[in-house]
Amino acid sequence: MDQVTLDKWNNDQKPAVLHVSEISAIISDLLADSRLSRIWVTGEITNFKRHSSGHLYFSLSDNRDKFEAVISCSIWKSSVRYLGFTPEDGMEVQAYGSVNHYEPGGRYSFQITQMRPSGAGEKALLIEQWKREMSAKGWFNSERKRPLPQYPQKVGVVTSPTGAVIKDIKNVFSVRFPVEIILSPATVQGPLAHEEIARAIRRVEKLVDLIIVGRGGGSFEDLFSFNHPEVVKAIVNCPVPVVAAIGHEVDITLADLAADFRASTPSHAAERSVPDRRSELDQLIQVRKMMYHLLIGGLETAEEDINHLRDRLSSPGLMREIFQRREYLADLTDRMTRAQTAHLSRKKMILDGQKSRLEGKNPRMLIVRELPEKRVFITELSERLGRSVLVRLNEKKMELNAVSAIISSHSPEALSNRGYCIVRKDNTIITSVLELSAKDLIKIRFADGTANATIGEVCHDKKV
Amino acid sequence: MLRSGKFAMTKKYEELIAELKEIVKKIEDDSTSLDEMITLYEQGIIIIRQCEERLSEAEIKITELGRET
Repeated sequence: MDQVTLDKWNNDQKPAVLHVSEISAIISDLLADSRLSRIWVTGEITNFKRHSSGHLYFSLSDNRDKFEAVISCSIWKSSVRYLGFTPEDGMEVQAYGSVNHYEPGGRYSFQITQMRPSGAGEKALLIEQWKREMSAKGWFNSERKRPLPQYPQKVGVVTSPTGAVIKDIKNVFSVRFPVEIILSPATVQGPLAHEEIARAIRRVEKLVDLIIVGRGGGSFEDLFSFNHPEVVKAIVNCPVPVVAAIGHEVDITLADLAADFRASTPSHAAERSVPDRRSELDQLIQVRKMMYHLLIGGLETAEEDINHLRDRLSSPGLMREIFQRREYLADLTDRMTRAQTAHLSRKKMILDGQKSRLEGKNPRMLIVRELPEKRVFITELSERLGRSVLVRLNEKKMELNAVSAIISSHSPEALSNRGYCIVRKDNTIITSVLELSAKDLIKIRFADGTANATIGEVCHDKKV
Repeated sequence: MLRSGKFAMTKKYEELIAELKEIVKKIEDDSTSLDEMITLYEQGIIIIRQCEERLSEAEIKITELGRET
C-alpha cells in the first residue's frame, strides 16, 4: 500500500473517507485471492490452544533467512477429529486450508481443514517401502503367528519404565492372574529409540514366556520407531510370542503387523496375555462338579451292574430250572420213600416169619412143656444116684479102714516098737554104712528116747 | 513323601492344570474301575485346591532389567 503523503493529501481536494465495513469488504475481497485459497502451508506450531468448544487455535510460524513470519490459524472441531495426531507447540506441520477474513474481529486467519506433521509424507513413503520389503520376507504372514502361552509364568514388558503402560499392565495382572513381570526398559520415542527397543527385546527374550511391547498413544512421529526394521526384526526373531500394544487402536505400526498378537491398548495386551483368575476359578469349580458327577455316575453304574446281575440271578429261566429241580427232587424223595416202605414191609414179613420160627424154639416154651416130665425123671435119677452113692461110700469106707490098718502097722513108732532105730549124723538120717567112718559121732533114735554113740569100726557087707 | 509334597508345591500352574485334565480324562474313561475313580477324584480335588491357592496369590513381582547388556 502506498504511503499517503502530505503532498498527495494536499493534492486531493476531497479526501476519500471510507467506512470500516467498506475497508473490511475490500480486504475480504482481496483475501479471496486464489493464491490464498485451498493451499498447503508449512510451518511450526506456536501458541497452541484448545478451546473449550473443541476448536483449535494456534499460529504457524516460519523463520527463513532470519525473517520471522506468523499467521494465525484455526481448526474447527468438525475437522479436529480427522487430524490423526495431536498438534503441539514446536511441531513442524503441513496444513491445508484457506485464508479467511474475520470481519467482526478485524483479523484474518488461516482456516485449516487437514493437517499432518511435516516430513510425514516422506516417512510414510519410507514405511511403505519397509512394509513391502518385510512382506516379501514373510514377516507378516499369518502362519508365522504363534499362539500365546495359556499360563505364562514370566512376562517381559518392553516399554518406558516411567510411562503408564507398565502401570496399566501391572494393574491388569494383579486383578487377573499372578505372574512375574520382567521390565526391560527402553526409550520409546526419539531418533535412537528403535535401537533401544530392539535391544530391550533381545535382552529379555530368553528370560520370559511372552513379551509385551508397549507404548501409549502418540503422534505418527512418536510411533515411528515401531516401524523401524530393527524393531520389527527383533520381534520376528524373538523366541517367545510377542504382543504389541503400540499407540491407539487407529495407529497401526509395522511392529503391530509382525507381532504374534496385536492389542489395542496395553491393558488389552495384559488381558490377552494371562488367563482371568475368576474364569479359572469358575472352571475349577466346573471341573470339581464334573468330577463329582462322573464319580456319582460311576457309582450309579456300579449299582446298576449289581442290580442287573441280581436280575439275571433271579431270571424266569433260572426259576423254572429251580422249580424243575425241586419237582425232580420231590419225585425222587417219593420214589425213595415208596421203595423204602416196600423194602421195609418185605423185611418185616421175613422178620415175622423168623420170629415165629424162633418163638417155636423158645426154651421157655420147651421148659414149660417138658418140665413136669423132666422133673419126675430128675427125681428118679436123684434117688438112684443117692442109692448108688451110699453103697459105693460104704465100700470105700471099708477099703479105707483096711488100708489104714496096714499103714498103721508100718509107722516109725510101730517100727521102733519092734526094735528098729533111726541113726542120724549131724541131724542127717543115715541110710547106708558108706556114709559113716570110724570115730563119727552119731545119734540113735529109739521109740522112747535117744542115745549118742561113737563109731568104732565100719564094716561093709561086701568088700569094696 | 515330604519331598514329593515339596515338589508338588513348586509345580507350575500349567502343569497342575495338565495333570487335572489327565485325571478327568481317566475318570471319564469307561474302563476305569470304581476304586481307581475314587482315588483319581481325591487326587483331582487336591490339585484343584493347589490351583485355587496359586490363583489367590495377589502379589505381582516386577523385576527391572538394567539397560546395559
